Amino acid sequence: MTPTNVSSKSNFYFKSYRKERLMLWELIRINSKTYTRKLISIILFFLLWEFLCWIDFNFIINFVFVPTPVEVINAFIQFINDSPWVHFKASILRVIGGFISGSILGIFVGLLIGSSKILEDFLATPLELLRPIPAVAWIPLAILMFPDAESGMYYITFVGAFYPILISTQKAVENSLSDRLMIRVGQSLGANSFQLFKDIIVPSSLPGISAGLVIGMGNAWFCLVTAEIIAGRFGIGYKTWESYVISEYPPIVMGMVLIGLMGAFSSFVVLKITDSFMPWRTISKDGI
Amino acid sequence: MIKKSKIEENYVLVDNVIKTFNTNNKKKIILSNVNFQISKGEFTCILGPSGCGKSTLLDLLAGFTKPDEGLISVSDEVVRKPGPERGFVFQKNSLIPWQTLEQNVGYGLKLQKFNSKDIEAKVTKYLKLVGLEKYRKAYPNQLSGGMQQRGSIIRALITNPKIILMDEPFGAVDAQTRSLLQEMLLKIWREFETTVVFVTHDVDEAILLADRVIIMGVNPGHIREIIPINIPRPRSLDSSFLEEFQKVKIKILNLIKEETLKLMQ
Repeated sequence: MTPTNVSSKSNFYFKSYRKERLMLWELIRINSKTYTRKLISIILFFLLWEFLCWIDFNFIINFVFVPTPVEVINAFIQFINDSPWVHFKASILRVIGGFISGSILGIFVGLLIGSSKILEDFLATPLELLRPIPAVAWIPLAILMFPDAESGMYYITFVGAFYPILISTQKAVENSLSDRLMIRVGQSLGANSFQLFKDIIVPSSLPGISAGLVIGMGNAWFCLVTAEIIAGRFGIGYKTWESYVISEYPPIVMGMVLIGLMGAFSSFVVLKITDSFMPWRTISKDGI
Repeated sequence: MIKKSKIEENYVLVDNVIKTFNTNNKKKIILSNVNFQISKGEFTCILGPSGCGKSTLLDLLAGFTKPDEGLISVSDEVVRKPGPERGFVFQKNSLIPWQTLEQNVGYGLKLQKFNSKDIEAKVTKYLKLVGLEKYRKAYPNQLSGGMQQRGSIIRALITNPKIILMDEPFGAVDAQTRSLLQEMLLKIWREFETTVVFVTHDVDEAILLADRVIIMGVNPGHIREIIPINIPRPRSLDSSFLEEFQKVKIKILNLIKEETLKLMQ
């Protein structure tokens, strides 16, 4: 039997207690077709981009001022040679700072308003009114409210991370509370309300909270450029905005790509970390 | 001594219980004037057509819901809320998904602040009892339905409850597994001398297991008849070929048929 993909292999072991793990090279061999296709799709994407720039495509969308992939790569090389670490460090710290404070507060308040009607009545309305305000709209107030630009920037990445985490946590808790069976199981074994919350409600809310954290991490990166417009001399977002102001186009696209890559990578890390808290789940997609 | 035997006879007391539910601001009577007693160590099955309130009655015994009128007591204590002194076995998928089998089985003891060594020892003993010691580290979704139910039974049993309440625990497993589980349950019941109330819709199952079968009627839910089963123990699958078994079965089937017909009118 030659396995054609990972799913059929995992299906084979579905009911067995000891889970078989595939070796890395087996995974690569099994997935090599997919990897080839994905590689081809990326190459095609860059070729199309280069081509559109080369013919100065200009119909509705104007490619005349868009830097070509080669120019972007050159800008990247220049950026790397020119002390990039201060920019990375500044941005990463702002995102992590906003994300961590957003997670702590988002999960905490989410657990509270998800499980208590009184707290929901008191807290949910003002939070809901503030939620639709985009990060950009916060800039003037952030400048006025905080002692320095740096804390204002932390605040804006915090706003980005906080809301998705809050809402996901709240909804996840409400969903867990609707699972009467698990609550009854806990009650009949003698759990009091606190133990029910700790052992039943919180673990069963983890998948929802995890989704909120992944989205929150992405949002913190969205808001980074906005945050770094406020002030400062360092940061990937600042670099992007500065390049636009001084009409230097290739670094703009480079900044965008870097933010995209780092955002995707950090979301992936968050996903992996939160998954490690939920070892009981077996996820089988495609109806297997 | 007279008093003690009285308690043992009225080990479980259901006294004039009335239960209503509110649907669309209209009170609907689910159970009306339910009365019965169960003595200590007795195995009682509750049978009845669907919608007769048998699960509601079990929820009341567990304390998940409260009666509108009347009183329920187990071992001279009025039932007010659910607790480990009344073990409950649910129909299916009731092992806590994020706990391994051993954590599930030991959870009740952990809540009672037993130390981890005692829990470990007790869990091992109970897992062996139902042949699951190999799977102690498995999560529920890695276990078959029958294994999950076995885990669920010992989880309810491990806190040494005064009574075990079972809500169609074998309804969702296949027929072969079911008869094995039934024999296993009888073995455990004999060994632990527990009192069991077992809700089912399977007549054969009820006759095989029970000392007495409570037949419930409909419109509203009430006790139609309580039938003692005098088939000698130990019983096994072979017991179903006895004449006594067949006689009781026909009697029960007729009673349930009458009640089911009432529902259709």
